[in-house]
Amino acid sequence: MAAPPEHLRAKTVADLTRWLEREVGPRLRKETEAIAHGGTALTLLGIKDSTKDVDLAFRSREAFDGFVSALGSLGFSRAADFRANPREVFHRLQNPASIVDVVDLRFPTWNNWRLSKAVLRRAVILPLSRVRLVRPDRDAVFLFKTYPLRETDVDDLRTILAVDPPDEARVLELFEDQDAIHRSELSVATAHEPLFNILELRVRFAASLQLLGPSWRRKIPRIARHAGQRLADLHLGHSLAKLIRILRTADFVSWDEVLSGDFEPLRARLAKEPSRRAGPKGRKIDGRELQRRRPSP
Amino acid sequence: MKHEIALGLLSTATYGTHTTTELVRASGHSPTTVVRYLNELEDRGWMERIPAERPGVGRPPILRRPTDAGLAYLREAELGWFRKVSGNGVRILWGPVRALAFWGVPFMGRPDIFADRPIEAGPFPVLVERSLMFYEDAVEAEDGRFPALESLVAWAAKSGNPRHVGAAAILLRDPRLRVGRLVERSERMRTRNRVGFLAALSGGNLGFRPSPSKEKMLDTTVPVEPETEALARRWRVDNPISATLVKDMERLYGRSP
Repeated sequence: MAAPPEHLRAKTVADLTRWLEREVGPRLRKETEAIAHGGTALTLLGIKDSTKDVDLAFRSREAFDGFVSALGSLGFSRAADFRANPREVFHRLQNPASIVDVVDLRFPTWNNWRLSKAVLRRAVILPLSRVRLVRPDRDAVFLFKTYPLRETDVDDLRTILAVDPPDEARVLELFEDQDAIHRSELSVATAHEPLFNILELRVRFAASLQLLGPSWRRKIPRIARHAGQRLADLHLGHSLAKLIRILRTADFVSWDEVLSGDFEPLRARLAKEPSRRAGPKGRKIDGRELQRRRPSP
Repeated sequence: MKHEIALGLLSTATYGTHTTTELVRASGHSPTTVVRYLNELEDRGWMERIPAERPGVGRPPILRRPTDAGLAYLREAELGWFRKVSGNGVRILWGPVRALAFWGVPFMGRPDIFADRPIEAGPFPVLVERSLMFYEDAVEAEDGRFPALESLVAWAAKSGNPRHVGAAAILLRDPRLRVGRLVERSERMRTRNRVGFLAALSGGNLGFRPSPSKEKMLDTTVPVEPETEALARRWRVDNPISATLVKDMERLYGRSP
């Protein structure tokens, strides 16, 4: 067989950081923070390979627009706008002539994850010209990977467990931090429904742990137990298997329908629920302590 | 300076962004050895430091990364290693990261190799593929040998890695694919049903018929669309990947390279 007409080279992290530093950075008007997500974050951590698209998130509209504009000046054009989450802006930009040819940009969150102080505490910021590339730590990436429930994300979770297992206490601390952020919004006026964010967070966390399979769950028993408990606390009246099927196969998850319309009691209960922690300095919380902290029905 | 240790550090720093502490951890060598080698690599102009930052408290970490000269040296050294390990009667081809890129589905990551038996391959992770037919009709390029397109598709369909399975679905629509050879490879590598299922899932028809024995695609079950479930039953494939994943991959890489 003849050799392929075009020899494409596998891309490396060095290609990505050089591209950001030499091509994107000089085209930005000011220093811009870009947070690596998804497969890109895993590849930056050296944990596994990823598809060719580069995933970046932005915390401010100004940073997002500045980055889009810099890519535009490099010949990138918008390929598609996905809106899996109505509150997130998601642009895919492409330029087949560039070494990094597909870039996915999201603002202000990525799959609903809030980039809180706790999430970024162990991140590393790489100054690459005017790009400040934020590489989250392994535990934050592990938690982020529990959201999408795609085959590839479940596979990534397994790879993290095999290559560099997460710190269970920190993953639980980060999960509770996100949960507390959403619950704190239940009692204030918001444009979105925080209850749905809590449902997405807890159900997807438990679903990912379920999809990992028993032998992998045994490697992170505290996380697995906690995920199951946080889901059970919701009293949704549906099996996890059914919820996984809905989340995996529905184009849009209607939580109104899942909750049969009446979600005020759940809303009120969650608004009063005290924050849980993974224990001071990562101390293990046993079942009895969890029981004691749970509010009475 | 031991070539293997230097190459290992250069390789780790190229395929990830690592602080000095992380490089020590990843290399498995003592901090003294790693720092000595990093300094030596820096003196030769192959590695440089970037002062990084942390949002939290703590000393700012130093990141180590290859210079352009370091990258050029690494690429030469990798090719040298590839030729060296190919020379002992072992069948060696570039692994999925480079091979999928070669055939039009590039990934970002560390290069690996296929070998017909377990071997010590320096900086490369090794994927053992014992079927000798897999190594037939390999394509010789300037930078090493790559599996034939049909071999790669047959392998990817049984790899168990959802991204590689998705890549196989894309490559199945490649006009360079020789269906006769693919049928033969799929039979011999016992992946006929998986290849047939993937072709059907991406809207193609290879003229295959399913064989009676069941084949498993992924390690565990992940719920898929009812139509995909029915298709997998028809092709006698357990734990199939979803049509959604194939569509996502097609959206990213195009329907055919």
